[in-house]
Amino acid sequence: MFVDSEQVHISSLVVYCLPDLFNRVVSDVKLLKDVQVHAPDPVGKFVVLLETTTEAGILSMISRIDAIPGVLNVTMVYHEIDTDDQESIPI
Amino acid sequence: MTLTRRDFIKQNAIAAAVAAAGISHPVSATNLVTDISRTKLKWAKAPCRFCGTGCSVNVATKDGRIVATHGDINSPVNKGLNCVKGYFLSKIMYGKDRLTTPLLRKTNGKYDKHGAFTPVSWQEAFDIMEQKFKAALKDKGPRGIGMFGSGQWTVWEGYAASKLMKAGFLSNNIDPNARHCMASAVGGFMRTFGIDEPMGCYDDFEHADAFVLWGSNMAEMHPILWTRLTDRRLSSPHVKVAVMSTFEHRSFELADIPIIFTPQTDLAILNYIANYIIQTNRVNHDFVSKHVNFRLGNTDIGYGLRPEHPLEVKAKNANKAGGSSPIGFNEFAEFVKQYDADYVSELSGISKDKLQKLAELYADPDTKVMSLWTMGVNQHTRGVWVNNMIYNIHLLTGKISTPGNSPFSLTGQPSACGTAREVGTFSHRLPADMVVNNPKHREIAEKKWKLPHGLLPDWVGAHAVLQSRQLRDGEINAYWIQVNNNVQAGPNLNEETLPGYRNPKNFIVVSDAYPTVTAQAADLILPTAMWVEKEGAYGNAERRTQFWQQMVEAPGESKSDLWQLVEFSKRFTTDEIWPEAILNNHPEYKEKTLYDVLFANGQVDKYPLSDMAAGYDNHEAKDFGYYIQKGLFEEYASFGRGKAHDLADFDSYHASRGLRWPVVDGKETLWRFKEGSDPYVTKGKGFEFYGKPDGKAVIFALPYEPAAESPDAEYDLWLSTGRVLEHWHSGSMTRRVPELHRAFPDAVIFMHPQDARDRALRRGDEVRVISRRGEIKTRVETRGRNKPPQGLVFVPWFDESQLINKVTLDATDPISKQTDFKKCAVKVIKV
Repeated sequence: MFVDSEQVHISSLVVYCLPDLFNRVVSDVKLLKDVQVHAPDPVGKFVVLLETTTEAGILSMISRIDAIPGVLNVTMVYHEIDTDDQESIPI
Repeated sequence: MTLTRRDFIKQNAIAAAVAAAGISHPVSATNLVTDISRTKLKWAKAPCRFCGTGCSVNVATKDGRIVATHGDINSPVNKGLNCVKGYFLSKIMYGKDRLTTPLLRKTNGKYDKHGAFTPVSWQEAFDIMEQKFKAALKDKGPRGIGMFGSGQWTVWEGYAASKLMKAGFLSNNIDPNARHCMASAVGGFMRTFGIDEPMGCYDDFEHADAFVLWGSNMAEMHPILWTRLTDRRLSSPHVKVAVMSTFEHRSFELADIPIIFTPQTDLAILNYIANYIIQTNRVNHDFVSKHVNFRLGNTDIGYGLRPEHPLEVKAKNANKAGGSSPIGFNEFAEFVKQYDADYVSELSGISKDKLQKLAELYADPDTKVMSLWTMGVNQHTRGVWVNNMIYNIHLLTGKISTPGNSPFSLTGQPSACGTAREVGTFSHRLPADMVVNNPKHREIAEKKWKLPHGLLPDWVGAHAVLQSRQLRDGEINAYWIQVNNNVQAGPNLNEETLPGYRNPKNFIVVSDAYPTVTAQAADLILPTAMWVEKEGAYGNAERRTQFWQQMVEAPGESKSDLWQLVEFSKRFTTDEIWPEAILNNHPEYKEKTLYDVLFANGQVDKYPLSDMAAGYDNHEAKDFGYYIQKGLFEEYASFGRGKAHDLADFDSYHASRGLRWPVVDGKETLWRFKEGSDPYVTKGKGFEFYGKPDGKAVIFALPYEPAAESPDAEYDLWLSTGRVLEHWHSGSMTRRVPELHRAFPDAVIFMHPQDARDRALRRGDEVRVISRRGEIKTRVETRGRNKPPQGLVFVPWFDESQLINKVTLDATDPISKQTDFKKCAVKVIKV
């Protein structure tokens, strides 16, 4: 849909996991490239912020997180497409 | 520190996810997917095009194209969340091979069944179609034509199709593909409650103490509802989740009680639970004595195969499959007594300990339990029975119609409920649960439709599988398929489906947006506008009716199914089709077109174009000169109002995120049959199952009976087919989204590593999957998301290059006529 090669895709996910494996899952997710973990809730859920260069990159990251043992569910929430040259514009 | 634009975006992303996860306070609703030119985007709401969950999505258009979709934070269904299929919705309309013009098989400029697809005008397409339908009607009467529609039709498309076929062509040979999906659920509802669709709603997810999945892989097929269930389980540690299936799948990861059972033994397990409830003295006798009747169902009912099949010849009650006789509680208790732990554990392969844990979820009066099921239960040669038997255990304990106590039938299609079921597009149905073989119901329909008394046909039309058989046998000769891909989806396609399409006596029309397997097997293809290329309405699994506006133009000469149906009706006159006697008695109907009597009838054409919302186009309304969607909806809604199927007025749906029927005095109904939440319950009764004349639901005594085909020495494995997360049904839309296609490009056969070793197979090997009916080639997968037990294999059916329905058996539930796609016998051989 967007063909600009300079794109940066910023998206967020909610990850649900087994509470017993919570710490393990969070640290496994943190090892992935261009991924940040936010709002960890030990009941078994946390937010992941992704920065990828393509849309397919989002899907492949979802698959990788989904494959981590203990992960129950990965759901997309937010997606915004930015361009590289906009990165440092102050607001 | 200066906040950059990028930082701001990231903060938005985090805040939105935190809110959606319920980790902190919600942010205000905004347009969550944006790009730098977001000011140029126009946003509007629509229900998702895929499964029956009915998530609301916000859809962004820019320069006449859909450019983005995201979960609608104002939607009570998905609360801002979105699954991957839903996320890529914006791309389903832009596949490279989108059809843009009618295509007719021609040789030397003339129609030829063996010719090549050639672009033609709508005029020429309808000319040949008219000629073929008229020839079939002349030759065989109304039984010589047929239509196969869908739970993906919008409400008014299904309504217009059903009306055109039943009241125009006087043919009940119309069925939706919901027959493959929900027919057993409908049968279960009608038999137990006398009225269709769940009594509960999605709010039950936040109230239940236990969830039991009876043959449903919600983690992949209903991901957003699975998120709600997961959230409940994680935030309330006392909650228990039991997942039951014939093979291990993604939903097992959350299971406290994981249960793999031998195919078909769900019947015995359900009777075990009923027996356990009775033996441990946990029957809610007060509820049962006031609100329940008991009946003994007919047994030995066959398998819905062709009548000459040995299994049908042998079956005692093949022609009385739905019959039953009254019994009392004691007889029921005696009936289920044989289903004790020893017998059922042996039969099902489940340990006695697990059986008891499962039964205890239902028996414990302090546990609110939600049962959930889809195709594992419905696609079953005893699917209606299994539905009935799930209700049995909820009724025995009185765990029904209250928050968290909820037997909940999930649906596979976006409007299986709203269109296929409520509108009555099944071959035996009329709107609002009425049926064609009831003279009073026909009379009501004739009055609502302003048609002469005695006009509507009283015979039950051909259902999905029977349509395929009648096409093959040359009994149906003109056939129109809309919004579905039945050559890929229907069972036993080599022997039953495809021969009918290519039968030289038959003319097959397929309306679709893409050249599916079905379209390619047709004689005429009509290019179709899809989803937000037209104004629409869907009804989801919790009785929620949702509307959307037309947001973009359909490509080329594509036209919506609604336009196609209504326009085609102009080519026929009453004199050509209706009985002479009726026309002589009612001369005012003489020499009218079907369009005149069905659509320009003073009701459907009542609302002017000025009623339409500003800022949205509406092709059909402009073409016909009136707000046809509103007219069709209001005429249709008049069937259900005051009959416990009340829909709100048309305009209120455009203004809301949907409403759950019955909507009475502007108020939706969350739990039916319970005083205080359902306005139809008589005051003082507490509960009332008013679908039945005496207000009582029915508990059915039904036995375990074996499957139509089981593994033997030669065909030594059970085959189950099904779906995967990334693809929706036959993949005609999702396989055209490059990201989804790459994520799961080809079907595989999931098998147990030991079954593979026993056949000298390794992961990735190419194999033949062979049944008595046909075979496919695929590759072995011994790891991954599905882990079958020894003796069973699973093959998804989304892949048109591996048509697994060449292998499946066309055995159906004899009551619901729904195919069992979960059980047949195959062998697997290395290529």
